[in-house]
Amino acid sequence: MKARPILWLTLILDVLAIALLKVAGWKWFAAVFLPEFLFWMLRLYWVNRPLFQFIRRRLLHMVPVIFSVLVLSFFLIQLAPGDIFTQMALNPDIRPDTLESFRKGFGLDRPWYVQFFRYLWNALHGDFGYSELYKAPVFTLVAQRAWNTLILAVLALVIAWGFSIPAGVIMATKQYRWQDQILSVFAFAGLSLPSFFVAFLIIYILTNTGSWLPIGGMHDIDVEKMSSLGKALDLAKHLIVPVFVLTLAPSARLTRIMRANMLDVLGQQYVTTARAKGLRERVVVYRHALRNAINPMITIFGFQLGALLGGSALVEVVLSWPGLGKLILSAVMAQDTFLVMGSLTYGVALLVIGNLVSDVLLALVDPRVRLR
Amino acid sequence: MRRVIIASLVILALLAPLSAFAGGKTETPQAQKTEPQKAPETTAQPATKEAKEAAAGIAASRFPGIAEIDYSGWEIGKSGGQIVVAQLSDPKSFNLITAAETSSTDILGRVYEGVVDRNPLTLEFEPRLAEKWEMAADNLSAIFTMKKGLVWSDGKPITAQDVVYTINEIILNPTKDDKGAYILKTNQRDSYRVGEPFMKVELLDDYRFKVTLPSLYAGLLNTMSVAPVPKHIFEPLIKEKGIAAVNSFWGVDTDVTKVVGSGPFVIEQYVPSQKVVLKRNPNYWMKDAKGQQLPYLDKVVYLTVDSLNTQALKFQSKETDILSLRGQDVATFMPKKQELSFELYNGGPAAGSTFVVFNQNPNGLKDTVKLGWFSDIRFRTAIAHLIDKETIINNLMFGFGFPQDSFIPVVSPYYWKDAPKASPEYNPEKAKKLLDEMGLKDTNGDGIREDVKGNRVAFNLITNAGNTVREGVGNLLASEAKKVGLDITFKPGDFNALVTQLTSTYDYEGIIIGLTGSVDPISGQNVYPSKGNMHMIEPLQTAPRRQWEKDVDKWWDYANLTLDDSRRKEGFKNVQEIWLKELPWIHTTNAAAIYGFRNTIGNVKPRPIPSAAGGYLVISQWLYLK
Repeated sequence: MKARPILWLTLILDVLAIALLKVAGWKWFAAVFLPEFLFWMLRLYWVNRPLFQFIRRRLLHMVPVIFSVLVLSFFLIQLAPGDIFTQMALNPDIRPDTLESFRKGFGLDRPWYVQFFRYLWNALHGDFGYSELYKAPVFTLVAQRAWNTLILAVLALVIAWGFSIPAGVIMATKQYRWQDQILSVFAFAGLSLPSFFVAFLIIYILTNTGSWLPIGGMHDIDVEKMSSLGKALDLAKHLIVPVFVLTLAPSARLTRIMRANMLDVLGQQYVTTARAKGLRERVVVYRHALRNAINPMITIFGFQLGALLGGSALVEVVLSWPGLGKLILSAVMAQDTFLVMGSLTYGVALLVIGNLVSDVLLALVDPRVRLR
Repeated sequence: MRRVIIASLVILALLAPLSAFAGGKTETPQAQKTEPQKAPETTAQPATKEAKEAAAGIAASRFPGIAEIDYSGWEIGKSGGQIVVAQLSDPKSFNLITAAETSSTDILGRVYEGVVDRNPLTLEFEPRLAEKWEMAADNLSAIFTMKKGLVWSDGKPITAQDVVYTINEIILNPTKDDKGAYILKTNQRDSYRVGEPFMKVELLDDYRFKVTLPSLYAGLLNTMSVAPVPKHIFEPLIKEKGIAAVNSFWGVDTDVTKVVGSGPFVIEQYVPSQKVVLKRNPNYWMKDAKGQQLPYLDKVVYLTVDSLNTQALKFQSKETDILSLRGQDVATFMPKKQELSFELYNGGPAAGSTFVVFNQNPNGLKDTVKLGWFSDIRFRTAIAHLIDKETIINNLMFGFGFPQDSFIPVVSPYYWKDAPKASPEYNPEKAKKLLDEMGLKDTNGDGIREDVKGNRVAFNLITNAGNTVREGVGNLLASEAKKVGLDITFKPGDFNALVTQLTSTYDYEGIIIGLTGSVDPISGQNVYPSKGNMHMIEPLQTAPRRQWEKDVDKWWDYANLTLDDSRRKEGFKNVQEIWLKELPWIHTTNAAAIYGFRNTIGNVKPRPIPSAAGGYLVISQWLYLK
C-alpha cells in the first residue's frame, strides 16, 4: 500500500471525526485529542511499523505501572491515622454516631481491599470517584485545574531548555573563562535555593518596591472586562513570577549537565578531526558536537515533564496559582482518598507519557538507537 | 564587532528584569507624619482620636495604635463599591445543607439568612426572616411568624413552608441506606435533638410554624438560627431524584448564578481555586435606619490565597482591602498605616478556647502511676501555677492576646466575671509546694522528682504540629516544669493522630488542644457534661465518676433545661467555678482578633464570634465605601 494516499485518507477522516465529536457536544480539548491520537497511531502503523509497535508496547506497560501506584498510594493513605472525617471529630456540634453514619455511607467501614476493588471497578468505567472534601467528582476537579498546571509546566520547561542549551554550550566552549564562572554561579544558586523560598522572597521584594508585577494569582480581578488581547497580556503578566521560580531549578540542572556533556564531546577525536578538516568552529560546535551532547539530556526531559506537572505544590501555594499541586496537597492533608488517587493517576500517566516521548525522541534523533 | 553587539544585548536582557522592581503601582511612601500630640484640655473639643473615643464612651485602646471597635450602632452609609478580601482556601460546596468547612460556610453565610440570628452589636437574638416568635406558657413550644413580603434572590416568596420543608424533609429526612446510615450527609441534624429525641416542627399556615420541644431546652433559638433553603428548588429535585441528590447538589461544579439565597449577597462568579465574586442581592429584606436597602456594597470578591504570608503581602500591595492579622504581622504593619491608608482594629478575643488537658480515664490510660498523678487535684493545680499567661501573650502572640480563664467567651452574658480572680496564677513556688505535698520529691539529685516508689515524674505532652502558639505554649510549659522538677516530653504531632487518641483510643497523657466557642455555652453540650463524647478527661461516662462531675452535670441541666436567663447565668457560673476549682483542663490564652481595614471602608465592626450560617462576621451587609 502506498503511504501517501493513506495519509490523505487519514487526514480527511481525522477532520471529519473532530467535527463529529464537536457536534456531539464534546469539549474542544477532548474532541481534538482523541481523534488526533487515534489517527496518528493509524498513520504510524502504515508508515513506520516498528515505531508503532514500540509505542503500543510502552502504552501497555503504563497499565501495570499505574496500577501499582494506585495500590501503593491507597495503602499508604489507609495506614495514616484517621480518615477524611477525623477532622470533624472535634466539632462539638456533631455526634459520634453521625460521624459513623458518614463513614458507613462512604464505605470507609469496609475492609481496605473491598474499598480498593470497588474503586478500581469504578475507575475502569471512567468514574474516578467522588471527592468527599469538595463534594464533586474527582475527574471534574482535576480537569478544572490541570490546564493551569500544564501551562506553568510547559512554559517552565521550554524556557529552561531554551536557556540551558545555549548556556551550557557557552560554558563549555569558554571553559573557566568569565562567561563560565558567572553562569556557574547562577547554576549553583538555582540548584541550592528551594523553589518556594525563592517564590516568597520574590513576592516580598515586589511588595516592598511597589512593582507592577502582581503578587501571585492567575488573573486580575477584572479580567472578564478585558479584551482578548488584554486577557492574554494579563495572563502573561501573572505567569512571569511562577514561571521564573519554576525554571530556576531545572535550568540550573540542565545547564550543568549540558556543560558536562559538551566538554565530554568536545574532547572526542572526531571533533579534532573536524577542526583539522578546516570546518569553522561554529559548525563544529553547533552542527556536530551539540547533536551528540544533547542525547543524554533527552532522557531527562521525560522525567522533568512528569515532575513539573505532578508537583510544584509549594510554589502554587505561595503564589496562589490555582493548579493541581495545591489540589493534591489539600487532598493529602485532608486524607481525601479518591482525590489523592485520582490526582496521582493523572500525574503518573503524564510521567509515563513523558518518558515515552523522550524515548521516541531519542530514537528519532540518534540513529544508533533502534527501537526494540 | 558582532560579539560586542551580542554581549551588550545579552547584558541588557539580563538587566531588563530589574524593571520589575521599578515601581509603578504604589506611590513612594510619604514622609511619616508625626503622631498628633495630646492637646491640653483647654477647649471642649477633644483633639486626638483617643480622647474622642474616651468622650464617646469607648474603652481606651488596649493595644496602643490599634483602634477599639464601637459596637453601639451602625452608621448610615451609601451604596456602591467593591471590596476584595482574601480567604485561605476556596469553597468546597455551595450547598448550605451539606457544607461542612469554614471555607464554604464563610461564603454561604453571606448568601443565606437565618430565621433568627444574633445581632452583631448587642449579641442578642433578633428575628431575621421571622417577624416574631412567641413561647407558649409552659415553654415547651414556640410559634414563629415569618415576615410578609420576603422574596428569594430569584423573586419567589419566602414563607414558613420553606423553613418547615428544609427542616422536616431535608435536614431531618429519615431515609437511610441499606447499611443503616442516613443518606443525606449534613452536620445540622444533631442540633434538633434535645438529648435523644428530636424537636418537632410543624406548619401552621403559610407564615407560621410551630416548634415543639420534648423537654425544656434553652438552645431553641440557637437551633432556630437555621437558614432555610428554597423549597421551590429542592422539592422538585427530591421528588425527581430522591434525597441522595441533595448531597451533590450545588457543588463546586454547578452554575453558581443558579444558587438561590435569602441573604445580603448572591454569588455572581466562581473561578475554581481563584476567586468567588458576590454581588448585591436586590431582594434582600434588610434596610438601614434611613430606609436604604442593604447591603451597601455592590460586590465582594473573595480571592483564594493559600498562604497567610502571601495574604499579608497582598494587603501590603493594596490588592486586598481587609486583612486578618496575626500577632507577628502587627509590628510590620503598624508603621505603614499612613502609607497604605488603613486602620487596625481590635476585635477582642476570638471565641474559642485553648487548654492543657490530662487524661484521667482509667479505661484509656493504662499507666496507673500517671493516672494517679493526673487525677490528683494538687497535681493539676501545680501545673496551672506553671502556666505563665503573660509570657505566652508577650512572647508567642507578640502582645496581642488575652488571658483565658473560662470556656465561655468574655462577650457572652453567661461569662463569670470573677473567673480571672478564681483562676490559679503563675506561681512556681506554689507549684513546688503542691508537688511536695503530694509526696513527689527529688530523692536522687537528678533534678527530677520521683514518687515514694521511685517512679520519675515524667510524661508526654502533645499537640498538633503547625500551630506555632500551641507549640510555644508546650515548650514554655516543659521548661517551667523542668525548673520545678517535672520531666515533660513535649512533642507536636499529626492532627489526625491526636484526634484519634482523643476520640477513639483515649490513651494520651497530656494534650494541648483547643475548641471553638460561641456566645451561648449550650453549644458545648457534648463537652462539659460527663456523658459527652468530648468530655476529654473521661468521655461517654454512663454515670459521673467524680463528685464534681456530678455537680457539673447538675448545674449544666439547671442552666439549660430552662429559659429563665437568671437561672442560666447562675448555672453557668457554677459550672465555671467548679471548672476552675477542679481544673479538668487548664485554660491558657486567647489570641486577639486584629483586623486591618482600608480607610475607605465604613461600619467596620467585625465580630470573631461564629454567626448563624457560618464564619466570623467580617463582611457584613453594613460595610460601605466612604
